[in-house]
Amino acid sequence: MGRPMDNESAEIINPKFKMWLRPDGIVQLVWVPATVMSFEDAIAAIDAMAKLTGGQRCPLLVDAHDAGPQDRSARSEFARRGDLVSAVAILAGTPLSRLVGSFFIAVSKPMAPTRLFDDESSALTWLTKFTK
Amino acid sequence: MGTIQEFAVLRFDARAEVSPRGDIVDAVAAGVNFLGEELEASYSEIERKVADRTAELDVMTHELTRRTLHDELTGLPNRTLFWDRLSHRMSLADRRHSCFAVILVDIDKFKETNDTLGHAVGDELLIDVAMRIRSVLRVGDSSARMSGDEFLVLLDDVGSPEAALVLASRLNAALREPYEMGPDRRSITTSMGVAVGPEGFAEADAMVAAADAAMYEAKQRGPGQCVLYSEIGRN
Repeated sequence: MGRPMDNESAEIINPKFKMWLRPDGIVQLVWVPATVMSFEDAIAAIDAMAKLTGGQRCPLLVDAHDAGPQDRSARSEFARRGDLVSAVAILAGTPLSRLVGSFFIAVSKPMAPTRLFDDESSALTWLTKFTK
Repeated sequence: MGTIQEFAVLRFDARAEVSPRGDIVDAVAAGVNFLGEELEASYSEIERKVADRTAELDVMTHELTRRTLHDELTGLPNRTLFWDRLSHRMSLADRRHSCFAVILVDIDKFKETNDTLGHAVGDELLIDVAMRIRSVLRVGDSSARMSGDEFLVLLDDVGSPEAALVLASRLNAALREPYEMGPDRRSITTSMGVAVGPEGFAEADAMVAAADAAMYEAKQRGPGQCVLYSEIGRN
């Protein structure tokens, strides 16, 4: 396992997402609105998470409330990386993002506990249970 | 709707358009697309599994056929395959005017080898004899293990009964060379009966029976003898 990034540099910006490590130990991922997530985007997001946490398992808050669809390879990649996340809370807003989140949970069957939320505070409350 | 119709004809790569609005229509379209992706993946997986299973079955069928037609110990064809080859050769008699011959080979005193040196050594000897028979045969000839210490050879093309006897004697001499048997090198002898066709034999059974009778006569004459079926009763 690597070392987590220090707080001053603990934010990664990608053309499709932004990710940072919060003081409460939860990693937050925000997708750019209407982004279509491909396999490469999934890899980039997972790499970013590994950099932020040094490879340690942490809870992840995914703000996808107005994100676009993901393709199957992206869903599969996210689902199988239970080694990096202790739990995932997905914030959905639009009917599309809710569908994407529900499908991911029901069909891709992620290895880590994963739930869909409408509001951030409920999501954070749930994720706190998975912080060390 | 068009995408679903494409799925109905197994075109799972069809996709519905999803706009950046992300509204309920887009959610339905994305759901249809997701289902298409899953169907495509499942279909590919099923096709791959079917191909894998078909390949496995081919290998198993091939192995089953090999086991059905070959002797497990020596790897030589068994009597079923030999009968098939001999019957085939007999059926060609009208078109091929040369003779062919069956040699029945029996290891002399094989029971003694088994009793004194053990069955493992006996099995090794059978394997070595099979290899030696195979190494002596010409292209087109074939061999088989008939049972126990008895082997069969089909000489596909021989000029005369005498030529068949010469080839049998050559085989007999090759089989007499020493073998590794346990800690020692020992020689064995074999008795051989030779039947030459096609005249006089209507079926494979009859020809093998003739070779067997000649082999029995060879045994009567003493170890290491070769006898032509047509000679029985002359000496």
